[in-house]
Amino acid sequence: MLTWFAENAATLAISAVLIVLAVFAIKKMIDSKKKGGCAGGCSHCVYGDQCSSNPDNKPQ
Amino acid sequence: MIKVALAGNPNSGKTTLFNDLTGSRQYVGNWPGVTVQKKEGTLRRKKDVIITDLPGIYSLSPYTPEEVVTRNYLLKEQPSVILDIIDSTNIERNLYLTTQLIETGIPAVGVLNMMDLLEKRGDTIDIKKLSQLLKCEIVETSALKSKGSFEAADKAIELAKKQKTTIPQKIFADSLEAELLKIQQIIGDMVGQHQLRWYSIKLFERDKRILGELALSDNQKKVIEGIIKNYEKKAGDDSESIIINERYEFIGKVVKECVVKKNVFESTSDKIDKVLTDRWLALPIFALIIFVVYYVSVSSLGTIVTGWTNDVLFGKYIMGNLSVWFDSIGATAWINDLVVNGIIGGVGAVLGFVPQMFILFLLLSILEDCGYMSRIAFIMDKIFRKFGLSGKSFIPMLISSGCGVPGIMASKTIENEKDRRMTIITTTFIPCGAKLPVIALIGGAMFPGVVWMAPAVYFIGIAAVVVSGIMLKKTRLFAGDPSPFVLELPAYHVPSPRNLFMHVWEREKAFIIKAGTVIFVASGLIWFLSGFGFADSGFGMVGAESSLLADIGNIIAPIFAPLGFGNWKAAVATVSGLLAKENIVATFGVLFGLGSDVAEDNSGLLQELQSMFSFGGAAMAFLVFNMLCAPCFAAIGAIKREMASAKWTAFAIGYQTILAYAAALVVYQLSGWLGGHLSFGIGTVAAITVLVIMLYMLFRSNKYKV
Repeated sequence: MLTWFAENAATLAISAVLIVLAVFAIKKMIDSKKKGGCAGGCSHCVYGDQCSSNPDNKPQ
Repeated sequence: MIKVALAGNPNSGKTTLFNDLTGSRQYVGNWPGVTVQKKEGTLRRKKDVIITDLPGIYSLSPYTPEEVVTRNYLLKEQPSVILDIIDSTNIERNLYLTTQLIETGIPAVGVLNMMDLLEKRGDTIDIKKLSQLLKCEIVETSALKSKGSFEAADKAIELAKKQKTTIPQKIFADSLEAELLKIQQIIGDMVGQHQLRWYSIKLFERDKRILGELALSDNQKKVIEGIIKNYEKKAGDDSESIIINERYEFIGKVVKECVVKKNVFESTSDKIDKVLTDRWLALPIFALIIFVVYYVSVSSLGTIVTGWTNDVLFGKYIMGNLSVWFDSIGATAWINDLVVNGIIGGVGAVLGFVPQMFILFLLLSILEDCGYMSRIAFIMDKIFRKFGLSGKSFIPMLISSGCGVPGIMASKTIENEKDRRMTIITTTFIPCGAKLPVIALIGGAMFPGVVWMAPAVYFIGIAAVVVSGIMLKKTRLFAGDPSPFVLELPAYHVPSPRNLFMHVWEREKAFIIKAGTVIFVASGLIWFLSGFGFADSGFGMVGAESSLLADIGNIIAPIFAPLGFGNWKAAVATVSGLLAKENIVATFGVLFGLGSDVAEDNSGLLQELQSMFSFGGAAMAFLVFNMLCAPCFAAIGAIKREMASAKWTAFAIGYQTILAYAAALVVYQLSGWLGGHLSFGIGTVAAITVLVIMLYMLFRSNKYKV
């Protein structure tokens, strides 16, 4: 068992990094969807102050 | 209780004056039913005087929610007096609303604001003459410097206390005034004397809300329509334009007599506009500018920087070194393949186009910020009007060249519901930033050296908008006249580098974040699905042709066979574009196992694409389909929100996909047959049939046109 872990340490480490990155990416996608806004970014969007997706325009 | 209504153009200084008059007593709420901010407060020295700040508007026509709210307030609430805030530095534009406010019959005081700025310019206004010509009291203020605000309020209170409504004066040509008098005689007993002129003008303009409000008999409507039609025939213009022109004639005379400009010369903006908005030169200049934008960002400079990013940065440094390092630390082959060819292959393929996107966004931002894009909307208004839309529909399309989502949101400003729906459906035909990598990839790989390739795709988008507009306007669902389009053209100015940079960076950041999230996950998924499947030994790693992705792709591929890309890789790439259009590039990047070398000058990629597309027409059909079909999920979500109807959302997506399919079919089949790549067969017949149907729908008469 230990030998297997030792032989595959690099693979396991890289896999762990990938899983963490994937979880962050999915979490970011879900958070973005909940928060609002679109792919264009709101700050310098022409309709940023009118867009219903802009989180700054949502009622407090 | 005296009610004073503050009205005026946006940015005329109303809010400043309101704050000055009410001090800390103002409060904010919402008009019931609309999202227009209402401000009410009491005058600082007199608690029995309520000041109501109405939304900033350019006219009292019933098109925007703000305009409807303001005129409903004025006509129904009947305030004691109106304070019309006029920006004295833009008096001609502001007087348009002034003439309409006076026509309501409510006593009005004209407040010439920003007089300090006017004096700085050296211009003068003869206040006495202006008051005589407009037949209303005029006061001067400089609200920002708190000069004259309370004098204006005192004048308003004095007028309100007289409790007199006014009979507005006649300001149009005698022939038009005679027709308005006829209409007034018909509605004489329906409205107050002081409102007769207002209602007669609105009826002449065929204002639907006023028509609905006054319970006119069918005979009365017929007589009024006859009066309008006769005059329209004589004048050679529609009734709304007639009124607008007459108003500006009157305003022109007033300004000529009352305003003295120190420096009577053309501004730089006027000189530039003489060329850029010339009736013959405007469109060719626009076409040339778009050609230059796409040529620089895709075909020339953009290609050089993207080539370096893909080949050197990702290909040589990141990919090469990472793969070697993985080998050296003993990582397994599959993890090496996943990271290098899968994830970096997909994400790198997309990130490789960041430099091109930067150049494109920079050039588009320059055009927006300098003021040229407003001119485009103005120029396109003339063309759009020929098939029933207005230039207002073009503004969302201009925005869509960055991202389709805000473009779809921008359709909110279109008051006509049918036009708004049509704009939402057609906005995403204009290639957005995410489609640029696809254009660059296919264009560079299959049409090397063809410099008009990328601009051509942009114009295909515009053509799709025009064709759709013409076809749809002849259907019951979308028939109707376009709304008038009033647009203030800002003065040209050199864009601020800081603003430009921020604007471009916001878009680039969003693109990069999308690559790091959506594309990252999608690339991993595609790598897995294209590398694993069911073989004789069970589920495990297989070649791409035997993979799960190939199995899925082979089910949907036949749908695209008539379009020239009926193979599983192209089919899968197309479907993956629903997540994000740039995912098409990422998918090719993973499937071809070329890592980040998905750049147009890579010979391996060229061979792979050539094996996928039998000839240029097939590649063009692939491009046309992906440019015009249903947009990404984010844009579909925006369509759903703006349509607020599942039925209309489904219609929009269905229409886009069907049009994309039809266009791609015609491109592939006809280019193949005429080029000798395909023999005459059922596909050719289908393409010709589709073309004939489209031509029929384009050129048939419009039975809904009034």
